[in-house]
Amino acid sequence: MEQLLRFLMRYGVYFLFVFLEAISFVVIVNQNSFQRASFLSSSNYISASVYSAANSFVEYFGLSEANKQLSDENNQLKNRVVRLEAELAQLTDTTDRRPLVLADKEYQFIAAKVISNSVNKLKNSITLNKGRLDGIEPEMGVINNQGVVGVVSAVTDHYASVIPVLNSKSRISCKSKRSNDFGVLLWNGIDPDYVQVDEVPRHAVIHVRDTLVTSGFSSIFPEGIPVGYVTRCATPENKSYYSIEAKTAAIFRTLSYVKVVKFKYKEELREVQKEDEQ
Amino acid sequence: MSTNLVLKHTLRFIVLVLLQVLIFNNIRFLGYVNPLIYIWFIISFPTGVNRSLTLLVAFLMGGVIDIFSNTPGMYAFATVFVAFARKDLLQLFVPKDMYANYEPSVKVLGLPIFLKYVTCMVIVLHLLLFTLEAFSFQHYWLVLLKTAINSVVTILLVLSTQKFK
Repeated sequence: MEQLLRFLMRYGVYFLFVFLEAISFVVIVNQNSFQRASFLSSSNYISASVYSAANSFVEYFGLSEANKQLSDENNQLKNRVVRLEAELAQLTDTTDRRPLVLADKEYQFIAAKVISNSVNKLKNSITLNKGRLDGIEPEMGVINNQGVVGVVSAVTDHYASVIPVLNSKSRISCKSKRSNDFGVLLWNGIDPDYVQVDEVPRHAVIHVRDTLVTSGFSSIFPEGIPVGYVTRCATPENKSYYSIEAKTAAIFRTLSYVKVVKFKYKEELREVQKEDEQ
Repeated sequence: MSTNLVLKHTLRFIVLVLLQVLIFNNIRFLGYVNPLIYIWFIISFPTGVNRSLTLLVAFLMGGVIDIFSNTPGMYAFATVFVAFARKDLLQLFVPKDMYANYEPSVKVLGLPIFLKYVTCMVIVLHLLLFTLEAFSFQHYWLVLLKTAINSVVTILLVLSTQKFK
């Protein structure tokens, strides 16, 4: 016994060394199972609080970067919401009544909210809460789920102003859905529920209750979006054109959400049309 | 050891562990700069302290760093090994007539002896730890490279804390 004790006293440190190294080695070899023991990992209370205290200092240096990332992410999510909203509106249209126009490769829609609107002037205007940064440019069409609203006239970074159909400057090419006879949609500035159609030749076949839709000639609107419903048509003796009055498809007094139509190949179409003219 | 000394070494222990896990384990320069500065504690640990106690303290220190850096057993293994080898290294370099209890430093040992001692300690530690980390002899040149770079950095850091006069 005494000998054993003396032996241990003498070589105890070697045993301790071997023992500690053995423990460490076993832990290393079985590290996968030990890593699951949370008290032995950095997720235990003490080390986690030390790390979070240190992090609360360090995070100040990364604030601007974190800020940027968050706002980027915010932007992406916003765009997604807008896209989904537009899709949703599209789907609602199809279930409601008829599809106005399907979102396809050529046309994209940017959903926007009307933040100011007037119907009581000769030159009415609409302001939207989306602008250049959202992809809106001048001369883009604006529609809602009822029909044509107007054409974008000017944009800032975040807002866009629209010349609605109810503006004496507005001229929108349209056609009769049934007979495909073309005309130009105007507004005489009197009644915000009724618009006029000019330049429909006398030989065209127009009846009351015909639907007038966009012609699709310009790159502003896709073809076939309702602009109005004929309420009165006449052929005055002294004129070579029909005199047509139509109820607007979109109800301007209660505009709230609209979609801005983005035609992808606008420049291409323009170029082709220019070449044609020369 | 008086209470004062215990307090002093406890403080060193805590400061060095925090330095290691919060700063030196987070250097992302070049991807493999990870100087193990905490070994300063073992390097400067008083030689008069019971050897078993030294081993236990080394085991504790390695274990704490292991917990912080999610490397179960590695730091403990390497630190205990270095703490064990320390006595033999000191006997190898330090003249026999040195008094028994001292804290190894440039001031006590002189630069040449201290440098030899520190270099051996640091290289052994890094080599062991990085080998354990890789846990294979594949790409062993990378382990050697890491050992070389980090040993130099650690030695310079240790020397920078020494009083030369």
